[in-house]
Amino acid sequence: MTDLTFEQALKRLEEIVEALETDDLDLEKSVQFYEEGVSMYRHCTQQLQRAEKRIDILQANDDGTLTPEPFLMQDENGTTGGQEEIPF
Amino acid sequence: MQSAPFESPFGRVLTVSQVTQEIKEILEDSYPLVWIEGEISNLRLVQSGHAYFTLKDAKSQLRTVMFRSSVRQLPFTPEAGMQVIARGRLSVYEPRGDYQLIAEAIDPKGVGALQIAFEQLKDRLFQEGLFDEDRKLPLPAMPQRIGIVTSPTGAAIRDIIQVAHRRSANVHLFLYPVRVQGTEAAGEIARAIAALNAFEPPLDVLIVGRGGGSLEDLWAFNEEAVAWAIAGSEIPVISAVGHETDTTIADFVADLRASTPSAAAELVVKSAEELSQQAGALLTRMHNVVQHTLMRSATALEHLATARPFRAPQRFVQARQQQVDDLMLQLDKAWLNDVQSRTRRLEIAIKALARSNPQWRWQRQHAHLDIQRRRLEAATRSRLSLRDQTLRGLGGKLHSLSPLAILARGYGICRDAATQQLITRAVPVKPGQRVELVLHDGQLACTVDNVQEKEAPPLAGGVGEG
Repeated sequence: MTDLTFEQALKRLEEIVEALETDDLDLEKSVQFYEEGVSMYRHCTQQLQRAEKRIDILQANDDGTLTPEPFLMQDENGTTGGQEEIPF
Repeated sequence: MQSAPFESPFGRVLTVSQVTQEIKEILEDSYPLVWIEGEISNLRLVQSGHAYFTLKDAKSQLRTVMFRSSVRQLPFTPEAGMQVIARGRLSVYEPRGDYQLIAEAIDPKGVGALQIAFEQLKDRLFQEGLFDEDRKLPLPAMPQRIGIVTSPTGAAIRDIIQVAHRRSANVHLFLYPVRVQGTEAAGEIARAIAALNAFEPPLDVLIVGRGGGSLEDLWAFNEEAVAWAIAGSEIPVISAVGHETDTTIADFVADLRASTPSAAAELVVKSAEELSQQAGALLTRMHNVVQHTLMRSATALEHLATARPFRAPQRFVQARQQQVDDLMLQLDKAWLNDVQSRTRRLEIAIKALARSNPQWRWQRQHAHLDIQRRRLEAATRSRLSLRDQTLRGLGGKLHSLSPLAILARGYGICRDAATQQLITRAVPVKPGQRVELVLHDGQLACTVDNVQEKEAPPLAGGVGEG
């Protein structure tokens, strides 16, 4: 469950709502779906609340692979801006 | 002494080669650098890469050759009929004795060279199918790993970061730094797109672009190498070049064209608020459906109970349940944590309804509902101050549906005057016994005249028809 991306959890929630709305489910099954739906919703909310933002700059290695390193915004003169100018 | 008719008085006879050579030297010395305006005709682009054509105007023609090294530096391909200004030097092609212009550069008159090159490449790539809608990739709904091909010091990356920050969504940006103008730019951009396609774990989407500038500044995004790299990308590519009014070849090939780098970021970095609303709407829909199912079950139970005459209180109980449910529905998102347990309680209530003796039902439900109401009110006060007013109004409605209100509809409660016990059955009551009949606005002291017993098993219930 925790491996799900926001998109996957949202999709599952959509499927559940679809199923609940279109299929004639008995009470027990409905409640079971409902519980799963609520947990998907929570998962989505948690993902949104995490709001982790990162920006990396990719350095090309000799063998053609790329290595991400934290990116610090620089102005045209090549000097690194202050932290307040870097929203990440 | 008479000289022979063809004998030079200067004692010097030139060969063709010599005179041609001399003329060539005179021409080359006199016109080492000229600009000549005319129309291209008789154009031949030969295998070797050289271009041969004639520059003409209304009266004259001038043979022109442009060698491969110069042709390659032209941003566009020369075409017959083009009005141009050619820069070069005059010389002589000795084998034929033709004098000619050796052009080093030509510049279209009127429209700029770059503009013509743009139109030419656009037409060609269109023919090749690079702009076809059906080869464009759909964008993922919520990309989280976003590759960006642009300058690390330019306006584009700054704008993209700002949008991502403002939207406070969960994203990981990967900047592939490239030069975005100059002769090296197109190659770097094309290689970056290819490299990002091989990056692991895979990226969800690529943004390729730069901030605004002149046509020359944006030129890299009009180059064929970039066009093919975008077309070859297996990850959806959003082009984001310059301002709204700038359109580049990259824009035509890209899976999606954003008018600016900021707009590109807005397309891929969904706002957390929007997404939260989307999920919330689904939750509400789901809640409604399940609520409906629960109500259906409750109705089925009611049907089972229709054989019993005292179903009116049960209906009121259910009406009140629905009222509670309605309240719960309105407390959607902020109530998420409570919703589930409350739904379970509702379920338990419905099951209890099936089990319960009608004698107890209304009392228990009343107590239960009262608790519900107080919880709702308390929770509303403490947690949802904005909804206070609404809830209080609904709380008032709930109250109007309380069992005491039922009495106002003509029901009464019968009690033994001496013991104050509820009288639920006719049989034990004797004529002459003193009873109290409780109505909604007071009570009556009564004496029983007569006791009639029904043949059917007596139905219990503290509430009887008055």
